Amino acid sequence: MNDPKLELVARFFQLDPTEDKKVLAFLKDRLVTRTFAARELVTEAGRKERYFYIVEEGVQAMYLIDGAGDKVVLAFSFSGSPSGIYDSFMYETASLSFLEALKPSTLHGITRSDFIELMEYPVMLRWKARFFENILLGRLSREVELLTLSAKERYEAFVARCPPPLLTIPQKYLASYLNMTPETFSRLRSLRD
Amino acid sequence: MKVNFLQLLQESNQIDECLEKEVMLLSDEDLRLRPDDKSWSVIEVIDHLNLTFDLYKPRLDQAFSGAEERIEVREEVSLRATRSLMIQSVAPKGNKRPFKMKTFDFFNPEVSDAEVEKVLAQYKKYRVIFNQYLKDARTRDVDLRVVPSAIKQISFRVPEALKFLLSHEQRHIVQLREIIAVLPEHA
Repeated sequence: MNDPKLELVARFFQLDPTEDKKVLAFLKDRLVTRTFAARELVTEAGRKERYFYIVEEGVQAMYLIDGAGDKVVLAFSFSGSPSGIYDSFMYETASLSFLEALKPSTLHGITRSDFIELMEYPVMLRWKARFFENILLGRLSREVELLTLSAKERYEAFVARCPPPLLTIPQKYLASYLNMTPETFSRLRSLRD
Repeated sequence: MKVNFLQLLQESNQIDECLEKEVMLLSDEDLRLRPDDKSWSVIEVIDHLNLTFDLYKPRLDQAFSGAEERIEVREEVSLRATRSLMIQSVAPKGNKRPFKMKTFDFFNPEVSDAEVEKVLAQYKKYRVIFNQYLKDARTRDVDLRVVPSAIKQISFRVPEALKFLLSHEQRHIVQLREIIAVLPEHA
């Protein structure tokens, strides 16, 4: 293939370069590459998400601002993972969340109409079923952790599965994601170190 | 009172959505229609917002000019008590506009039939600029920079001016919806 962007996307969608040439050609034509500086907003709350992204580089945080003006981190995306505000993207509604690049980021995006067209390929339909099953199971597991584990246990569970890029972002984002104060997060981190 | 620039940006984006979904769909006739002799039309409300921005834009540009990049992004800033009171007096309470206010003469709208498109285009342009101020206020050190208000004796700091302008705009969005609600097709 000899195209790093297409290789990344093929890996993400679990496509076979020899068997899925048509799908890859479609993606090659339709992908839009966007770059963001650290702390730049990728998507703003109140606006529609225009892309389904695959992250080449960087770390992004998806969060909303609560009534007290505090950030509540819902998810992270990083190299090789999907990104974007999916509900806004799919339903064409104003996003309730912000998506912010915490590190300089390169994202490959596909528009909603292209995404829908892409999902018409049988191989993509199978991918979609697996993808959303994994997302659902991941969210359920996170919900169980948030509702049943102590702060220390949540921290330990997170560290055990944490992708390395996330360890480089400001602690306050990780603390919010784990539903604890930055002070608690810092104390647990120092205990572990 | 504290303001969070991201929260302001989210609220500001909601105004853009209102513009797109509620105002841009109106016919020229509806845009120009006054519910009664004492009320403004939709396009006059928008022209009033443009006139307000005409006054503040150069002052905000001046305040932002040369402001250094912050070392760390800052999203929440405290406002002075007196300015908070001013802001609260213009901000709508839900769908109500408390404290009836007299508009300064220089903010009184005047739109000819031929100018409707121009006024809308100008407002859309200003909305983009205003949102950029909010984004820049996160990353540039403008918290203490001064923005003279429309009243000579009173000046704002940048976060106060941005919050004031947004609250003022939100107040007029409530007014705009009141006008739309009584337009013949909507009443």
